[in-house]
Amino acid sequence: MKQVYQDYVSAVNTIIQEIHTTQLDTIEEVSQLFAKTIANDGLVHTYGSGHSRMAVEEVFPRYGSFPGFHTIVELSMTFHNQVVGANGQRQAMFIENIEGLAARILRNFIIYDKDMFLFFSTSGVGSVVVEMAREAKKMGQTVVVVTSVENGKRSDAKHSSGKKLMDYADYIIDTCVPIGDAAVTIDNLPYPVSPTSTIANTLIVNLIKARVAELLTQMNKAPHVLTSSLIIGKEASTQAFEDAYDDYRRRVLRNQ
Amino acid sequence: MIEYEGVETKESQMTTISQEYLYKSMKLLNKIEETQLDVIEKVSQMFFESINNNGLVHVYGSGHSRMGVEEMFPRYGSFPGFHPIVELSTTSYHQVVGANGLSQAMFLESVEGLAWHILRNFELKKQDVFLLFSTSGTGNVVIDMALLAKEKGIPVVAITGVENSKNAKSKHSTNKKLYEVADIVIDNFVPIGDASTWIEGLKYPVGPLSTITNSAIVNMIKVRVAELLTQAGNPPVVITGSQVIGEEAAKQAFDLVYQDYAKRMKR
Repeated sequence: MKQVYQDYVSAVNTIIQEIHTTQLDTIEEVSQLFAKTIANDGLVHTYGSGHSRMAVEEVFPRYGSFPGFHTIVELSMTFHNQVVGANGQRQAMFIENIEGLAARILRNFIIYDKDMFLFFSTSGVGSVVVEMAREAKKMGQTVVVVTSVENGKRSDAKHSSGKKLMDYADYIIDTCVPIGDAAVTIDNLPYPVSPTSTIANTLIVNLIKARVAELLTQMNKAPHVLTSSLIIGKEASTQAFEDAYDDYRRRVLRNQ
Repeated sequence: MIEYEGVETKESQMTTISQEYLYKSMKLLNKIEETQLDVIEKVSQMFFESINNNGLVHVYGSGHSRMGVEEMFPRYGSFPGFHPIVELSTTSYHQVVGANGLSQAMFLESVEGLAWHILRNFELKKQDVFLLFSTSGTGNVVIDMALLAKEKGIPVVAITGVENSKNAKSKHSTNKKLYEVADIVIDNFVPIGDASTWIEGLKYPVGPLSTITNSAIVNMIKVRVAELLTQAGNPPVVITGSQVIGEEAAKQAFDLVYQDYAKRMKR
């Protein structure tokens, strides 16, 4: 095997092992809380900008996922695939540090006491995500943060208050990724390549998702899961999607 | 019966609220004809010079002013030479509430500094021109964009509601509005607040006019620039419907437009 393959695979294995040995207790606590929230028709509001959006999408909607999570995806900070030009990455990275925007985003939603917040940020210092957490705390919400603790500690705060995402977290799940996210060094290349946070985030999301589904099922509140026709047949799959959409709408629209 | 200066109304008919809106639109179009033709000619000449010299006319507007940008290019009857800059963060608010809601877009269009990050993406040349749309003339992104263009020595044309803008408060740290920083101003003459028509018993006016006047101004410029380019022996490739020139020719026109646009953008 080429050395770089070996390096990346072993970096990822180390991270998975570390999550396995150090984070499962927190993940269990968080899963219990999410299950309770969702069983009571509360919502788990889920937010991340930049590449942390991928974790939001991993939560819901996709195959093997179910309503109860409310995903907040802002194009201004996540639709940067043009890279340069209109809607370029420069704009997205500037916007994710504008103070005051988080309150504008949250103002759109009816938040119930029984809700919770789940935030993703590998650096943990973006001003918008920091303020989202601050605003959520102001509303008395429980805040769960999936972040790289080591990255967060080493990064300078960008917010004028000097606060970082971890400062507002009730529960921190550590992605255990290395400083700067990228894991592989190459001879004569001064930059490391191949980030690991997407894999770590995805693992954590699915550990939570599996456990919440189990808990909801045990409470006789089995979730409507988006399921492929290859598993349950075309008709049942179509029905599962419709049921999940209806359930999502019911949960998100709330009784106003 | 309401009298509208410059518009013939039929005395015998009751004026409905819909007609009232129509008359107000016609009145503004007449006003543009009466007062803005010289400046529109001047701007058309500038744009022609720029496009004829492989310059670009960079076109930007946020919020509903995005419609002015889209009216310019690309669409049927339009041609390359214009570079539309459409930022989703300040224009894709059709969810209204929720993620990507109007509130976020209206917040972002007044953030100073964002324009610098937008413009940093583009290579600007001295033969370029900027065309900026803002009915209120108070969005900080559009004002920043004008200031940055001028810093680089690129002329700025603004299509704005002058009277409307004079009555609005500047939110920019320089205390300026778009019409004050632009080199050339084309007035779209919208009434204060843009909405034109009052209804008995309703405390808000309805029926904004700026989309109509902006579109008229854009197309007045477009037809004249096309004429000038053609007279100069550089006729533009125009996006044209198959109903007009046949399916094959239309398809070819589209392909030529894309090629020409890509060539002009590649600096």
